[in-house]
Amino acid sequence: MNRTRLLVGTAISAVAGSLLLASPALAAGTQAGSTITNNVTVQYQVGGIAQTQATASNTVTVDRKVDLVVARTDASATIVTPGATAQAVSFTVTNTSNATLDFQLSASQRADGESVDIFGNDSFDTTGGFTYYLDDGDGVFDAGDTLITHLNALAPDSPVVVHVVAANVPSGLANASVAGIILTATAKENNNGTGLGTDLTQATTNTAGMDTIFADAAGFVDGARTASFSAIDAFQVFGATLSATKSSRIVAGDFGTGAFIPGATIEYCIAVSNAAGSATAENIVLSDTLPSEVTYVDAFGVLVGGPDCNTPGTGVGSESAGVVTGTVASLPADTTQTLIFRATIN
Amino acid sequence: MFSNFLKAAFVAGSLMVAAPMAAMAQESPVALSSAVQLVIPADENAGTEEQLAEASNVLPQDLLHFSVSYRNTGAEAVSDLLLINPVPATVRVTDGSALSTQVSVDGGTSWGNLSELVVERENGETTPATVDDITHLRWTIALIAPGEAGSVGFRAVVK
Repeated sequence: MNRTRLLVGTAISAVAGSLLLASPALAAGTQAGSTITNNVTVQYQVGGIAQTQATASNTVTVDRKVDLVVARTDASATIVTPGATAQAVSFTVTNTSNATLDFQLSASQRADGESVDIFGNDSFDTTGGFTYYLDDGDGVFDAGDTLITHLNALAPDSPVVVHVVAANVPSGLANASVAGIILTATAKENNNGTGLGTDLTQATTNTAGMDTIFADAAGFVDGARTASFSAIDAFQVFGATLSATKSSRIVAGDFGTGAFIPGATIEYCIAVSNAAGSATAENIVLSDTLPSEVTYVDAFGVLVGGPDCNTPGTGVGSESAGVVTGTVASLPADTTQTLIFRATIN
Repeated sequence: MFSNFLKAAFVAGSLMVAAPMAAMAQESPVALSSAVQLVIPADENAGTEEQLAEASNVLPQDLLHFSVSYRNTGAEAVSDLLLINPVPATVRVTDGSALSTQVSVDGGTSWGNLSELVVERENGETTPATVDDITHLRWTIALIAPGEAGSVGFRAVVK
């Protein structure tokens, strides 16, 4: 009889019922504290007369799953030169819980000799402590990033990049030295932006309401179900490895080349080398103070940039008050450049 | 009478529980109860069977069992029982449950087997409906004799 039209009315009310339950569906899951209720509408006939009624079930509350992942942003170490300051290693921190939480950040040094995952073993520590910067979206540590002490109110499934900045890299480190830096993030209560929230407490008994359950996996140094996750990244030293030698030979004199006697002309050569596998050195300033027993030969000049002591370069240095100076603009790995000048023996 | 009846259906909706119709002041002959329980899977290592438990500890990815029980408490037979079950937005109906009965993917307007239904996506394409699209399930029971009882249900995973 009028069943078709009755169906329309019921369908509309059924839609309204399910809208009341709507909450955002996330990859990390339904928000903690969401309730699930089953509403059922029933129609039937008794003696040919249509009737309708509805029922609602007990309500289920979704518990709070605390889970997070910390990972270095790439598989390469941050290359540093000895003596550098404010160098960063970068991590993503992802809240995979089904609730918005605060996250404490804590960076630490890997001990000397211990494994730094894919980067070999730790061989040095940075000094001066760490600061934390929230990336501005380009994934690179730069002036646009924000200095932070912790991660505030991090929503589920919205990874952020945190730069852990080491104050100082010691000087005098050998190439390929490695410093492992561990970042541990620990989930805390969401404090609504007023500082870091308090510790999370795991439920000891299951209640009908929202319980808190730690579901995180073990990280690099932390255990599973600790509300913490850690990952390691590395600084790797890559500097220039310079060495210099100074040689001299007689190029002209009364008794032929070879006799260091007054009046003879000596050619000095300073050869600077950068070892294989090193970083390119730039703006290397070479200077040499002449002994008082010789006089600089201005006519020859200071020739910079030759590949060896027999091949004067085309660059030009200078001499002033007995001090010879020249600059090598760029010295790649496994190359040598020379600074050549002449003087006569008084 | 019909207009009153329709209005009552609109107003009552799913919010009122077992509201007797004003037009027929009589005790409802169908007793209904519905429940949501947590499915604890069988554990071969522990040798335990699958169990249904009180859903006090529910996390995303957990499997829930939704059920509706009915009983004809009246003296007359009840016919053409139609149970319409909106799917809560926070759960996804399992494949098996979706195949077991008729479903709707448009808020209960049209019904069919899941494989027969299509959904117009946000990009304008029309594609076969999936379990993610299910908004309602329904069951029909032709006749329930006085005193007869039964139940229907479905399973869904918490998103």
